[in-house]
Amino acid sequence: MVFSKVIKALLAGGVFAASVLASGVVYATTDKPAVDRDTLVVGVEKEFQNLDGLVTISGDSLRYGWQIYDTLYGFDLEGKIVPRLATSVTISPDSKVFTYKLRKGVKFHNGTQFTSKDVKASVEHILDPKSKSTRRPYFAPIVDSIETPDPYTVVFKLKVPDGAFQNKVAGYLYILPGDYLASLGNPDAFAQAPISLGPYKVKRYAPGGSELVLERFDDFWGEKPKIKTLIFKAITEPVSRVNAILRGEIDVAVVLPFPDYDRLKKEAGLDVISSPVASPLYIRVYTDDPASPFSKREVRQALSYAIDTNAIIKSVLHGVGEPLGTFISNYYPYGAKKSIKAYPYDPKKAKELLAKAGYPSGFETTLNIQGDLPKELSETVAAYWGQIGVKVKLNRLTYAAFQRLNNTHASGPLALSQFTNALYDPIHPVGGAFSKDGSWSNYNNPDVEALLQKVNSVSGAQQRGEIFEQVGQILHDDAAGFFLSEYFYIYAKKKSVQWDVQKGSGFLNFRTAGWK
Amino acid sequence: MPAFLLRRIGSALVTLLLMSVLIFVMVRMVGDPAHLMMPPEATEADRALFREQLGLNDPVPVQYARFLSTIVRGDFGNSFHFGVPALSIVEDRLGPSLLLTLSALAFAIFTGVPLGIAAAVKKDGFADQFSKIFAALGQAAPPFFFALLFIRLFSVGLGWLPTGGYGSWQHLVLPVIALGWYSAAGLCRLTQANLTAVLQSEYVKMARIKGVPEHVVVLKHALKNAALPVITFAASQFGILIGGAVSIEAVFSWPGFGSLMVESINQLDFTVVQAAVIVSTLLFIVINFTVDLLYALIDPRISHV
Repeated sequence: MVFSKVIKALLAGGVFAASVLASGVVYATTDKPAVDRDTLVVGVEKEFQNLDGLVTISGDSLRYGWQIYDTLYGFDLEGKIVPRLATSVTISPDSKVFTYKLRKGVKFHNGTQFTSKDVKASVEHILDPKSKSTRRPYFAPIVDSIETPDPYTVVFKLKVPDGAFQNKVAGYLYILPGDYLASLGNPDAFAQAPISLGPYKVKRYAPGGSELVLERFDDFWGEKPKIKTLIFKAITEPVSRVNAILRGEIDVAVVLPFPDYDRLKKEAGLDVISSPVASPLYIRVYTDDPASPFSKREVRQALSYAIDTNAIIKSVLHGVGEPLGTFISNYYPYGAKKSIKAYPYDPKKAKELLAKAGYPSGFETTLNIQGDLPKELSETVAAYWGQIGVKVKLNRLTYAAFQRLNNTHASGPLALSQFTNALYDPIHPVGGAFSKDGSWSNYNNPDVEALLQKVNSVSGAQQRGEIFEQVGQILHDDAAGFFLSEYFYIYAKKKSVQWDVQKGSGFLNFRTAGWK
Repeated sequence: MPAFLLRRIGSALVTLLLMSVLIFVMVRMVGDPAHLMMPPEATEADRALFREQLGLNDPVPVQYARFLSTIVRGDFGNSFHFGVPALSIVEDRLGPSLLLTLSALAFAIFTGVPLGIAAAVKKDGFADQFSKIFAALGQAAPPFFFALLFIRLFSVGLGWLPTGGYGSWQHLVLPVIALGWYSAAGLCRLTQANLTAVLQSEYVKMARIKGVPEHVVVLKHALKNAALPVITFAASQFGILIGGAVSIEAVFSWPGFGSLMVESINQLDFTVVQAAVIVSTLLFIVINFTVDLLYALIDPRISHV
């Protein structure tokens, strides 16, 4: 009968399809350029929102910022502070006056000369409420005045000491041309035709940010990029980014899903890179409510002993993670104390501590979850805690809804979260999450407060690092949060692409990328 | 006819107004862009200042009144994220979306209907069997599943077509089939069922007895009568296709309207969501109106006098 023939044919087709789909199949990936050897095509995870690097959220600008813009000081590949548009900086002993000497002969994309006036105009652009800059909270509370005694000197005078000011300048203060800014009708207009002095200038920006094409700026002051045309394509679906690099349509793919890590590693034409973003994957704990079990240190320690973080990293994160003993990532250039290890998995000790704290049969609690994190993560943690009698209700929220609760001290008693380093100084996470005034903190420890107070007026990696190491130790001993893992981004690139991934942050750095 | 037109325009305006209120209030219930966009270090004062710049500090009715007074001038406000007029972003994304959905509809009609006809003409023939499987598969799985399957097979596996993107006819092939198959399946079954019924009716038998050639009987006499429900169904698929396009656009990185809408809701870009919803409501009003006119054209018994 015809029917059965058709069925047979389709079945055969289905078997073929299934065999192609079966995981572990290695496709013939190519390492030839998607376009040509003057062009690099990068598949990114989100659409570009706004090309004004001083206005948009840092998660947006960190992808194009180092290509289009430049800063007075910047970060090297490991996050150490290095001079860029400035040649030197003098910091007053009280960390309140920062004097930068500027590089001479630097040109903007429109040909105008870079001077101290441009630095001042850039800060004013941030401070002007009309700009709607998301950087304003970093500068408005601390900057008192900016003086430009001559075209190549800028003096920042601060209201309060800020030992991390250098990092804020390096991470957030992109330099815009002052005259050009002044010529625009309104602050929004800059994003439509951004001009700076980075190694690339904007050639084309697709409406809605699905594609961004950059072209080499030949008058760039520093090392000339090898790639002439840099194309960013927004491929929002993670599976689609994987497919695009498998077929060779893009040369580099960023932020790939954990489950694809092993499979992509088998591809002959690809290099798969897992890169730490110095961002602790952790559970925020509301310790400040005396009625809550979490106000007791033994309870927090018990729950720390109850989680097998190694197993979680191996299974849930597909091996792309590292145990973490405190809130300061090992991938900060300073401040991490390597001897602080994660709490070992010890359910017996956990039960003892729990009983000692007065909860021999456990208790019930709620965990709020930032919805873009792997779902299995919270489920596994809840399962571990369930074994010592702590029943956890899981409450998964969209990213936006979670942020609202988390920013207003309403995500308690437990909140699973992660946020990416953009400053390379531990004050960024620690100040926000463990100082008594932090937006993300319901933790108040006088010892930590005293150290954070001290670190505010201390500049320099060595001295700040020592203080943060002490902070890290306290947060570990006190089990101030539940530290699950270092967070990594997974990148894939064609073998023939020469590209060094920026360590310890999600910044994309294509300044020196090229073809081998 | 003029009365009919006036009635339709009146009801369209009411629909638009209701929709605008609904989306205006709902989008504000989802979240607060100040919390999403400002960094964790921001204080409540920082966020209040930010909200003020976006005009979100006023009571919602005041905001709505301001919104109404500006949209009559075609100004939907600037996108919170992109900093450009929200409507311009929506317009830029509308073209690719219409191309995708209309192509998928065309695909559905030009595969579903002929297959249905062929199946009806010869019961249990090859076409009939094939159409059964075609229809069962098409309606068994959601479009994004086919999308992922096709990409693995035809893009990554065989290397015939791109995995995603926009710009050439090659980019259109897989998304159109993945999106249109579901509708094609429905159209195929419906055409077959209707045509089979009509082919057994007295007037068809009469035509055959008169010696009218079989292809004329089928295509001219029978199909015309079987067509009305098919057209209704095809038109109703347009809305389903626009909805289905959201996932297809995401999988194929198609710079369309659906992915913009999803992204804007995630990013709490109120102005873009508002503009997108109003524009799509308008689109649906126009489609429904066109369908009504089409009925009258095909079936003179229906009139709008």
